[in-house]
Amino acid sequence: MIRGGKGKGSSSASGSQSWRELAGPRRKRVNSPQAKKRRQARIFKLLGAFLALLLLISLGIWTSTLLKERERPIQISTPSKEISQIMFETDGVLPNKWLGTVLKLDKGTTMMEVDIHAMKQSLEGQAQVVRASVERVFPSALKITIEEHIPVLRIAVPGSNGKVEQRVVARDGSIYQGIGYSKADLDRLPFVQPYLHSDGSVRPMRGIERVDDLLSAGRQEQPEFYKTWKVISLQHYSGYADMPGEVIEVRSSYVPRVIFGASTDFSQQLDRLKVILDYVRARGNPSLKRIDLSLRGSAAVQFTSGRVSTF
Amino acid sequence: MSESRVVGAVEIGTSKVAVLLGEIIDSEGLNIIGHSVCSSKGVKKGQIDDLNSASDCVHAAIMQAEKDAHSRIDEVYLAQTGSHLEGNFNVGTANVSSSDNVVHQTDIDQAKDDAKRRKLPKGRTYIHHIQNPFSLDGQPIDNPLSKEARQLQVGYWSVHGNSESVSDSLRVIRGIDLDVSDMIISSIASGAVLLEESEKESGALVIDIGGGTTDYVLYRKGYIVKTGVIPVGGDHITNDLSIGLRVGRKSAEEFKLKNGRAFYDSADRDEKVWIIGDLTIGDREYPLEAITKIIEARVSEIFSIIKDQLKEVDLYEPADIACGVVLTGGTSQLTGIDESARRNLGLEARVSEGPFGVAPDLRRPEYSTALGLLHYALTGQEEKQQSAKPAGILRKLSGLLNFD
Repeated sequence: MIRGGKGKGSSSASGSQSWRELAGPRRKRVNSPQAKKRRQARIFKLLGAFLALLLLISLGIWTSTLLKERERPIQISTPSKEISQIMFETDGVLPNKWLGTVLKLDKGTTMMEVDIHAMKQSLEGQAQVVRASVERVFPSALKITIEEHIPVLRIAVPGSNGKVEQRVVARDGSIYQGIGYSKADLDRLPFVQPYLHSDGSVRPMRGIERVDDLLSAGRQEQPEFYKTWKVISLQHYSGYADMPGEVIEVRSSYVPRVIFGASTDFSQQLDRLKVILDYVRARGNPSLKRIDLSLRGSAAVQFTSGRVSTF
Repeated sequence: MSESRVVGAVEIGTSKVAVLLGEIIDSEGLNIIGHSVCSSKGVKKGQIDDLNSASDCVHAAIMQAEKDAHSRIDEVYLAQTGSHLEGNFNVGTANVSSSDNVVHQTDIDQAKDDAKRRKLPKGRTYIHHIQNPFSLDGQPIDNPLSKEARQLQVGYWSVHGNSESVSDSLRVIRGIDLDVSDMIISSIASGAVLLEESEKESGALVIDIGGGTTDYVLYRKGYIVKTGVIPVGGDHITNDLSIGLRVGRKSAEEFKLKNGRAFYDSADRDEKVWIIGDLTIGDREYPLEAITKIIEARVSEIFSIIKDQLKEVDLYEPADIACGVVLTGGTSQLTGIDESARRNLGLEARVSEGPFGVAPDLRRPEYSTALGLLHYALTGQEEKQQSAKPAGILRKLSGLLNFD
């Protein structure tokens, strides 16, 4: 490599009468085959550069178009079909008609348009439903499976129009309308007189599972007497069975008041009740007013006459 | 980002066209990236006499160099020679303008302008203005700025040439769609790279003996004080031998290179040499004495003319040319030419070994002028006037689009 260094005072002529003023006209240019070749090479080079530029621009446009295409969802299956069938399964009594009022599916809704998660939440928001599942069954069906509450008791609540309306109580204490049950089924359920909380409300209804145990035990062990059970009073049962003084009162058409201890084994209490009732029948069936089975190791029977016997 | 430009150095000589391509990086360094040498056509005694033939060979040399460099030339630096070149010494004077007699830049510029003002006859054109030392009230000084004096003077050695000859050179280059950035006298270009600064300070005479012309430049105290072109070169020696020996020019040239010597030695008296030397029918022996005397006569003539020209202007002072003569050009390869220069000029003489810092194959004498052109392209010249050009990519793009 040659390195630079300044010389002393030598200058190429410029200005008037200098060689720089000798620029002749272009038409006087001396052509040679080499110059023509060089000129052609330059033209080809320029043309090549232009074509390369054109190619690059085209490539850019094509790539941009391709990317825009890619931004759209890719269709990897056949187009979603319209829902033509809903397969509804329940372990309870809810009818297909009820499903229509809950789902409100528009006609023409396709399989992929439907939001099955929202649909599941909507179904599980219904009081009578414990859990629900919604599945797409391709090509055009939805399968809905419902698990319902089992009714344990009936309850009378004031309706919106001031009239008393009937509701049912499930084992977990939830109160619901009871859609789809036959009148006979509902009539077999005893009414409940709920525990009133300090604020006067009946909700939440706690400890209903214990009441259900009593009813189940009654149905199995005293089926005839159970048929006379009309009202279950929970006035003295807050739902916490182990607390002292918690009793469940059964009002029947045969004995106005039968009091069960909430924490005591119901089979034992029903056995004692059977003994008492057999004894009463044996004595000519005097009218009973109250049987208290909640006492430890004994039972108190109060007759209409006012006599009280202890068993 | 570093910026580079490719500069082409073109010397259109009588016997050959030399092209060197240099890549100047950030105006700080230069890499030689391509070169080519072609036989010259259409050039006589350094002047173009057949534009088409000259264009053919110059364009071929340029394209060959571009091919060698895998790059295209952005600008051309052109060497100028020929017997049409003449010089004259002009002195410019300026009276110091400020009341305190302190020299300002305007005074310097005025003196310089005055020195370059001399009108040339019609058909002549200036090529180079070479500045000599300033003098303040008659006392020489290198830099007069801020010094006190009443009168400032500066001398310029101005080289001018025949407008038509110079224009022909330019037309040849423009014929291949290139513009000449600068034109430099061949001898100045050679001297720039062959001499060290200390040699220029001590005084040296560079003689470039080409095929058709001999160019010379004389340095004193670091300044160029005289340039000249003699229309005699190596081709004349060949021609003399061809006539004297009655052989063709080709054989004479071969004979010159093989057996030629620039001065007569008494030891040659009885020696004979075969003219062709390959047992060709018609080949014959010839006394070496006669041959040497033919060459010596022509070489002595060249040196004598130079000596006379220096004496004419009172510049032949051996004490002021302490570093002696440096010989270059194709004919400087002639055996004994340094001894001939010593005898004829009365000065120490040596044959240049070429500039340092370049590849060995570029240190050959035929490249010294082109190397000097590249040196000028890198260092620039005082007051160099360059047309403004767009830089970097834009410049390259404009070059690409230049179809004129």
